[in-house]
Amino acid sequence: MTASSVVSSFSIDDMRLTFDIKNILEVSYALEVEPVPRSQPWIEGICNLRGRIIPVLNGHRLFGFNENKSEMGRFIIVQNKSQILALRVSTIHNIFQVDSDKIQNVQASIKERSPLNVSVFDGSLLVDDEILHMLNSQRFFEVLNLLKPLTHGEKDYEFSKKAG
Amino acid sequence: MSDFDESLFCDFLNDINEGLSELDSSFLELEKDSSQAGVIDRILRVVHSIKGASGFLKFAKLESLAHKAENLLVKVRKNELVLGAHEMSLLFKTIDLFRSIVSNLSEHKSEGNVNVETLVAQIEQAIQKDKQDKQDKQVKQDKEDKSKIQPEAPVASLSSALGSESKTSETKTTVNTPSASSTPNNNLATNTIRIRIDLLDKLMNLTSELIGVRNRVLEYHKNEKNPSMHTVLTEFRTLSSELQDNVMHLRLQPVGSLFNQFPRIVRDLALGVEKKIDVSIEGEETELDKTILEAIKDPFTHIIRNSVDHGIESPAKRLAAGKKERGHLRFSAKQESGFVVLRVEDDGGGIDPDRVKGKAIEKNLITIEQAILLTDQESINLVFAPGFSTAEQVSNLSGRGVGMDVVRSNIEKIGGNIVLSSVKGRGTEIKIQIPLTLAVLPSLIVTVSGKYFLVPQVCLQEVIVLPEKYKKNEDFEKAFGVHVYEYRNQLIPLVCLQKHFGLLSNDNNQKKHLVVVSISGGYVAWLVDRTENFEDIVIRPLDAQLSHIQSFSGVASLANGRLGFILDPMGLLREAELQSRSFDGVDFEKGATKNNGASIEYLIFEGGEKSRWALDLNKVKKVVDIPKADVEFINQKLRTFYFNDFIDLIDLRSEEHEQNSFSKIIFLNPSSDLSDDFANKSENWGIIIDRIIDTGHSEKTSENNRTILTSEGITDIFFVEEHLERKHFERKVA
Repeated sequence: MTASSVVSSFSIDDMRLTFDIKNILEVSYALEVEPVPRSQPWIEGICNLRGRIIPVLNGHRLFGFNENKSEMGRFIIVQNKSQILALRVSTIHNIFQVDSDKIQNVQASIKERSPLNVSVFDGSLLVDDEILHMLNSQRFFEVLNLLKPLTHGEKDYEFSKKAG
Repeated sequence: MSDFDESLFCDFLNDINEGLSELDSSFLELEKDSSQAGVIDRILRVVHSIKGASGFLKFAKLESLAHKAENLLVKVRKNELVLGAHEMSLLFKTIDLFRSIVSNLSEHKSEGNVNVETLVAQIEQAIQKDKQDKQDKQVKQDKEDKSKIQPEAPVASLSSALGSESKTSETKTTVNTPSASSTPNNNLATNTIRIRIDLLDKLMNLTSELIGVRNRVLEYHKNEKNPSMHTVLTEFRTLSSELQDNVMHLRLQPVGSLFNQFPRIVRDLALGVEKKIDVSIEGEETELDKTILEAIKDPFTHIIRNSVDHGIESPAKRLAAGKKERGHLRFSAKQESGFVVLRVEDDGGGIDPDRVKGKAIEKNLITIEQAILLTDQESINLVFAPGFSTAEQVSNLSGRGVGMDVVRSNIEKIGGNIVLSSVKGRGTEIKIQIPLTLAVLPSLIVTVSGKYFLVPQVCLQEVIVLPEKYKKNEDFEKAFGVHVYEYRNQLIPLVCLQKHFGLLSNDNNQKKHLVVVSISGGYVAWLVDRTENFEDIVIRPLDAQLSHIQSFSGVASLANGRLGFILDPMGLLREAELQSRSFDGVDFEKGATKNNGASIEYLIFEGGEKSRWALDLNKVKKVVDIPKADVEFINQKLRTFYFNDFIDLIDLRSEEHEQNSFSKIIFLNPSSDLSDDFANKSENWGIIIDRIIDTGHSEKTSENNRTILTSEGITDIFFVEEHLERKHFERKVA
């Protein structure tokens, strides 16, 4: 018998990704975001999720895509242990079961501008002629928390760019 | 039983009742598995404390029974005795007897004629019998290996343990009340229950959340015209505040529970260094959050050690200096405007600034050039530098240089601040200001480029409205490479928050504000766009993704629904790379004013008929514009509801200002030196005024306890009564 997991698929720009639903708290429409000064460029700000203040990660900036300012997108609220984050994505597709023998060891290409590395992926899936990159929730959080803040100059520049 | 302290007795009863219920559950655990060392330790601790407390209060029966039970348990712990069914039943009987005695105590304040001797003898017998058994078994160890386990195997169940009780019928007679195990417990009516801390925290968080929602509701209905809605809102406001107050009080404990440990610590320490020290305690009834009380215990122990070791001189030295042979250490606690101020004062030799400087140079903390520029106060503050210690010899009390910097960081961790002042030869005073609770943080909301930032009130010193020409960093003078502001004859570093946070400037023509905050004995000024109102905020931590930002200690949801960032003065300074330049106190020295107690700062304001008034700044809590509708005339008194309290008001306004839509109100600190008449009626009060004019210094005239203001820019020179009273608010123009 092969192991299986249930994942939710979503897109950021033209990249299709999946996240284990065990780590998805909820999906929601975009909430109001308060930008945080001196934060990393991929952090859009913070939002108030029913009394809990959580950081909002911009999927486009995180995966190295150009931002489409007019796109509101959706929020996926993800959780790992006590840490809760919101990830702004372009669209959310569907939820389905994945058998482990269907996962192919195809390396996802990560854009140069992305602060992430390929270790955040478990592999890929081919669904309806489309390649879905499977995010490993555990690794995703680990890599994120290890990312070093940028130096002062970069941060100031990035932030004023964000604010502009 | 002789006369004993009533409260001590009540505490004893509470403790023993708690101990008994713990024994119940522990014995049940033990019954399941008698090999659990942890459980036996726990039982021993309880029995031991029952023995200690009853011995102290001279309850001989309780003491002797506890003593015997303890002996038995010690044997068990040492594996010298196996806990069999018989031993178990003896222990259960012990608990029952404890209960009967405690029941008698709570009803008649005496142990009653409970017979404990029989049970004591039985326990003794069990201990001895086991010894005998052991000796026998030693002889025929090999043969009886199995039979040794059988009769003394751990009890199978509670029922079997209790079953064996009926066989030893003589023990029944030892118990005065026949149904000892059930009824006495019902008689032990206690007024307290124990609640898990996490439940309390949850209740507190929920209440805080509710207050947040309430603030938002009130904000939406700020201009509510409908009278019935207005009534509902007022009730909502009052009730929720009352709820918050009560929930807050759940965690508060009197400072006395900490302070009362000090005389003993001081005595022991003083004996060790052959000094004679008297201790006095004031304000022990002042209440503080339990977590804060726990957090300040270590810092206080450090401070006491320092006072005993370095502060107070040896009897011979004291006599030579013309002082009393016995030194004096005074601890006091007082509540002041949402904070608790704790003071430790000694009448010792004080801190010698030159000696401190010398040591600091020796330890490479500062250079000689820097030392020359230091004021006395700045030199004294060097004792807070990491790695500083002046003791000639490392004694067992202090001298390892890990003292005061740890004290300061611990106090700052709980949102407090510490100020050290000392007069050489006269003594030292350490003043610690800490928040009443960690649950809410009263803060001033400031805006920069449309963003909200929060300045904790505990570090807020002053807000200054700048003349129009000051807009950005560059408009300020530069000294030693950083922008500075001249604040009360002192140059202090200035941080433009808009630039620091990389925000876009909003080029309006509004006057900018300077927020002066106190930090580790110094000041720093923050340039902001505007200051808004004060709000009691609930601190929310920042996620790990944002924890590298040192400028913020957290975030908070504001009454207007927006999120605000709580500024951390020390972190902000570090991030602005200013720390070393400013608070070593080297670069910013410019004949700084030293507050030696001879001068007072006053807030000068204008009332009706252009009259001018002055008020001791220490008495001023805050100045706020309150909507006219919120000032009500209740019971022939002017009152307003601000945050969680009704504030009594005195009206000094001119008629023309009465028509304004906002009333400018100075809120005053509830202060102990108010007239009795006032303190009885209301703790909080305020004055409605026309406008603020300025602040000024004055010199104290000791003879008549009045004050002459001599500050520049003030045309009138006038006297102000030192003790302001609501009813006779006198003013005399010289």
